[in-house]
Amino acid sequence: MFRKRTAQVNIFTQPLMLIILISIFAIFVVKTVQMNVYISKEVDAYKFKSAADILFEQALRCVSDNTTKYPYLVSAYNLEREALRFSAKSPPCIRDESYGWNAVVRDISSGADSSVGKSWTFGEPEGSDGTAKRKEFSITMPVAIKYGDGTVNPGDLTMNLKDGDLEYIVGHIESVYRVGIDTGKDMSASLSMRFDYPVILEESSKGKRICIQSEEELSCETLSFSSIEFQPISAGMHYVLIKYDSRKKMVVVSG
Amino acid sequence: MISMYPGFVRHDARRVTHKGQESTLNIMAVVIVVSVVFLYVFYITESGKVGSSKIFADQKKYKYSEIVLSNIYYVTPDSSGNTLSEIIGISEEFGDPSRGYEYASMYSVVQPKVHLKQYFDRTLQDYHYYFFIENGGKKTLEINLLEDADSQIMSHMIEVPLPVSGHTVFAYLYVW
Repeated sequence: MFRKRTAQVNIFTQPLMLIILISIFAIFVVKTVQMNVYISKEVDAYKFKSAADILFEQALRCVSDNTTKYPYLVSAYNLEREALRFSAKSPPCIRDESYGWNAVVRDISSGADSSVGKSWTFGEPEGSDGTAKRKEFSITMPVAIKYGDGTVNPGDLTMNLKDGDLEYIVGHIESVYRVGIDTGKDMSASLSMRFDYPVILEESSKGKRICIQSEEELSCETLSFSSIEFQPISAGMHYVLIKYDSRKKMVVVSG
Repeated sequence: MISMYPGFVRHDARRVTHKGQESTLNIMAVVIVVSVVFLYVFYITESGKVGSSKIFADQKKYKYSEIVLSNIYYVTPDSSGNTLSEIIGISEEFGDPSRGYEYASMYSVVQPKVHLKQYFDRTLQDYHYYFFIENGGKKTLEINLLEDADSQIMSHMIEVPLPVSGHTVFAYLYVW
């Protein structure tokens, strides 16, 4: 009788224990994989956010007041100049070929309402939208704005950063052009990617722009140069070849 | 054979029973140990999960408040052209302690606390803050109170020179 009960206990408990053991092991493996995915995503996000920090410092250097070495004292004169010249494209003093960005500086001396105070914007105002946009991030830091009459008002600088299909392709084109100009040699780069919307070249009063035509709107980024031949790219998977011709000093993009 | 050695059989049966219980207990022990290890590892990884947003928010808060405090060397809150740090310096030397360290300038009466509060309220809209000046071990120009805060409090200190005596006082800013 006693032997029979023991045997029954073994028959039921041992497989049950085994199942529990396997389940725990499976959960452990799944959690470890999830953790690795989480870490890689976080590293990516941190890298992106750090880029905003670097761009913020570059933007400050562009507009800071030259009378002091303190970087957070910016000159209203320099702000006017940058906002006027680079309202739709990146100023040459700020270089980032990986992401699209724009900076907004506002004077907050008149209070919390941003519509009351003066503000200046420079850099790319648009960028990827809809499914073409992968991620975006903003960072705001305080600055002191020095006017011509010596008055210094409190303000802040917001750096808006975007990453998407448009920023990716424009970044590659700018990079090939810059390296080609710097070295004076033929250069080429290729990228294989899937476009959700057609990519076209457009001419505007501010220069040549690469645009993504989504259902709702046309999102564009202005190039820092105008010598480009661009073959329109339709939606879908494409192998894009970007070449710099050193004789013509021109970039040719074919998709 | 069995009838000849009944004791042996009984003894063997007891041994089998004992073995079965032992192996069940062994498996249970393994399961418990694995579960405890798993829960411990799980707890460690979950508690150590600090998102980049949190790291960035903390870094930003620290740098943001540091710049806000440093900017008092440059920001001119009124038409006199004096910076906030100059106003603090004059008020510490010539201000009336019974009237919030206010002092008379060429055109008007300057109330340093009003200027400082307005400046910090505008620049630190998203945070709580506590500001004061330490002058010879005494707290002056206190703005707000250091309340109980759930989040981490960050503190910054800068030196503010006094215009005539050449001494310095210390401006403290706590942000959370």
